[in-house]
Amino acid sequence: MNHEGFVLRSLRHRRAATLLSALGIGLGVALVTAVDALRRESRAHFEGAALAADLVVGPKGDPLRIVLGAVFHVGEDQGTIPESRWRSLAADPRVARAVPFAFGDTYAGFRVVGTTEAAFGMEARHGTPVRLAEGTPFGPFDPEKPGYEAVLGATAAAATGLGVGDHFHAEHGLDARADLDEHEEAEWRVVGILERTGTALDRSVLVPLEAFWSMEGHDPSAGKAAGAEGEAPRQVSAVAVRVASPAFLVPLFQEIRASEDALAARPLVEVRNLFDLVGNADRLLFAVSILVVVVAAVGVLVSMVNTMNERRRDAALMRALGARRRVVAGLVVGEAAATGAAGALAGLVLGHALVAVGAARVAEWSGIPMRPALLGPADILVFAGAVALCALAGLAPAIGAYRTEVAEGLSGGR
Amino acid sequence: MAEIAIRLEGVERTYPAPGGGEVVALRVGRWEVEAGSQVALVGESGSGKSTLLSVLAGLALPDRGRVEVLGQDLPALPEAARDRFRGARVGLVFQSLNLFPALTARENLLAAALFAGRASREDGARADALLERVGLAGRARHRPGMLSLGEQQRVAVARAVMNRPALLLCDEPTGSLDASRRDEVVDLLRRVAREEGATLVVVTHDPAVVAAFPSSVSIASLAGAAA
Repeated sequence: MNHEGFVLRSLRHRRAATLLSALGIGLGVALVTAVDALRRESRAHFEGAALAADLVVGPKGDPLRIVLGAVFHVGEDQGTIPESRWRSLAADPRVARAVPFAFGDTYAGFRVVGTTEAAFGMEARHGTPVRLAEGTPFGPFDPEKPGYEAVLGATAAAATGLGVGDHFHAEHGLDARADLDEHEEAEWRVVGILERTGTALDRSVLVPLEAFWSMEGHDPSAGKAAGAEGEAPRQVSAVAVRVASPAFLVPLFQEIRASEDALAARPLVEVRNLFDLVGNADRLLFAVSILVVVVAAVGVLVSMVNTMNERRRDAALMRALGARRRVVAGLVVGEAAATGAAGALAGLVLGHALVAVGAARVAEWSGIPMRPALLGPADILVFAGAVALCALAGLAPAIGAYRTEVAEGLSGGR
Repeated sequence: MAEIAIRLEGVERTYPAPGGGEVVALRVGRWEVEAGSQVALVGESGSGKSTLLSVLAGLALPDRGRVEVLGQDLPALPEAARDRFRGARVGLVFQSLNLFPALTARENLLAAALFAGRASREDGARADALLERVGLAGRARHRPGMLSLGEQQRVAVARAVMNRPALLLCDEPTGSLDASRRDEVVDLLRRVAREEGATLVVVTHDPAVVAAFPSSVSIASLAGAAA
């Protein structure tokens, strides 16, 4: 038997108190783990989606709102920019890809997004290209012989039950709570369904921009050729731009910002600004979960103090057998640390299990895909912190054991 | 000339009195115990018997006087050295609460080697042999709660000699036992001490225990012995 064996046997002897103390630590650590995973994954998710475009160009206004609307489909319609702005960007040699988006309709709460075939060549998020799970992309729109083709995001398809070949009518407006009018003039036919990307694209219904324009109430010059004389220009809500070289990013950004009809926003910068803005709430949530671990560590202390008579007796016996005071104190701290280690380990497993089991629900509820990780640097920190906290909680009883005199300790009884 | 295991001269140990001043807990003029002898130290409660054992084990220091145990001037040693000395050369048996409740009988013996810093591969065999010698070979895996008081004291005796001490100090080792168990434990102590070649000092106030020893000394008489 060694000192570690002695500690384990002592813990086993007080198994009820040990289990309850470890349970408290475990639940606290599980909460910290789950909250940290949610924080980390949500940030990674938003930043990943933001990285899909170098610039988002939209109407003059708040750049954060432009990004939230165009990239995450969140918030009110921010207005439009002329079609010519998109076309000039698409023709700009500094631009590798310019994908237009036009919003204004929904189907079953999912946004109908007018766009072009270029959308199928872009990234949904950093490193995740837009791919079809089944069917084909929509074809070019012919105003003389309209065929309203739509491609559904994975969540939109799953939630509506629509498959390739099915038909639906969109509703005019973005407010899912309002009583919206149905576009009876256009019956959309589903021609493809996208692979899941973990972005707002999953909740989208992509349709050809020309077809979108052709519908009632979308544009003063709906269905007519662009740029025809005497007609109001057609509009898009935003354009996602990928520059041909990072060197073009800042000049292009400044150029658009200086223009009178459009505003350029850098999605990654805006998302980071947003996280800085809501960071306090984020930190508060994390602090509360840390506090739970601290309270659990106090539970370890209370549990140890409750058995102090027995511990003094054990300490006296150890001293009588020749143990040095610091060995006696070290064993008490070791017992507290071992309780913390057992609880923290269980908490890490529980926390990651919660994330893994709840990942689908969280993704469904928030649109944020959670990637369960087995062991990260944060876990090691949380584990070490919980063990250190419990060892600290064991210090007071350890000092009591350190000071125990043999005669006193053996007269205390149990 | 016989070797001396214990030599005390002019020893005094005091404690602060609750109302101020000091209470003399122990006073010994001169006392010597020959190595290998077996002595009953007799005294009533509060006479300083336990304080004397603490001083002899190096667990307490006298305020004044000379304490030489197994050739070591104990007050001159730092605490860590006294701990080492006790673990290696002194075995202790108390009246009750002798055993670690979390450990089995066998593990309680192994703990003696562990805390004395003398754990070795031979400990398991030594513990088994000692348990057999005290008649508890079949109870090796039992925890104290599953043993009778007499059995617990037998385990305590076995543990006290686990590290082959030269001095065995016992504080009322039969105080919580009935008459038959008391005689059994006294016989065991004397036999084991003899077999191990250890000096045995048993503190008691029980005349039946005193009668079982070849020599006894009253703690009251030690106070008056010439230094």
